[in-house]
Amino acid sequence: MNLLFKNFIKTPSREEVIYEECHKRLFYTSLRILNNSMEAEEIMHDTLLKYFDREDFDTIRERDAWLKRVCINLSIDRLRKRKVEEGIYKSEELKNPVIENEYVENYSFKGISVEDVKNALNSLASGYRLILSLLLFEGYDYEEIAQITGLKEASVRSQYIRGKARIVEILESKRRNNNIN
Amino acid sequence: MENLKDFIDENRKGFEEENLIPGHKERFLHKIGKTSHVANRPVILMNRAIWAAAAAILVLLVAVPLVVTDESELQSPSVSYSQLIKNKSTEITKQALLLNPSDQNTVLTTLGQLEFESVPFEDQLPDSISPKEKDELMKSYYVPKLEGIERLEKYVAALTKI
Repeated sequence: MNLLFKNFIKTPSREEVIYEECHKRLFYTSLRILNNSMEAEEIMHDTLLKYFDREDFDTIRERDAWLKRVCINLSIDRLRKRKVEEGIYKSEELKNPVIENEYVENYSFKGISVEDVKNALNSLASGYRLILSLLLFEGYDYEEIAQITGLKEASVRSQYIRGKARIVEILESKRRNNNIN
Repeated sequence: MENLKDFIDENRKGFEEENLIPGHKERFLHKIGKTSHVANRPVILMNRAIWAAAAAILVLLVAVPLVVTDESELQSPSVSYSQLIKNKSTEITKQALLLNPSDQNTVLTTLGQLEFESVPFEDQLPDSISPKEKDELMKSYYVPKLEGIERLEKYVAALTKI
């Protein structure tokens, strides 16, 4: 009898089960793009609310891909709303040739902590952070990112290269400071 | 350069350790307009159809007051925030009673400062603002408080382990 009461109160609803299953992934996806926990939470909620408003998917894989895409689109919309870095999609910087730097390519991450990389990513301009996040964390390729962001594939590639170079620059500068101290 | 990607892949967990803001699930349930108890009722009753009618009635008698209480608690975000603070505060107070008098005093004074509201924040907001603005303001007021209380809770937990 006690078991019945216990189950009655605690068995989670479908929404709660899906929330528990997906919320963290969506939160971190949005957080990496927006770099703001409060906004990331709102996007995570809005994504799930959109999901509950529609028909279910046949497979979990399809569901997860849909959730990720909606979460990214909502995060990008939020970024655009901010309008703090209007230059992120402009081509001014892209006029300079992008040279893939061997130093950047072969940079050693020995002695670099997750926190260092996280801080470096968060210090990037939001445009770079978006591209790096989609490529490095979400597993999209240049073509897919171009579709998501509405940028040309070449711009995505050059922003990726520049973003990576900036990350290495930040990490190296920190490493040098640590060595001095 | 796939060494940056490799680094991230190898340390993926470390990149996803940041805590979510306390109360995120409650705020979601509030947005979706239901509590878990309301959602569960038909499912549970169906699953337990084999139980005698007497048991089902008994279950409803117990569950209905619970559901009514939770719904009223979640009617407005401020109520759910206040309730969260209250729940955490009760927990911390219980834990603090196990500490030595000096630590106990520090914890309870800090807790008092964190949860003190001479006039509830919601009452200070003008009627002219939209519900969305109201939600935003309340979130920015209560979330830091909740985060502070969470930190205090961890501090007390660490002290009680010593």
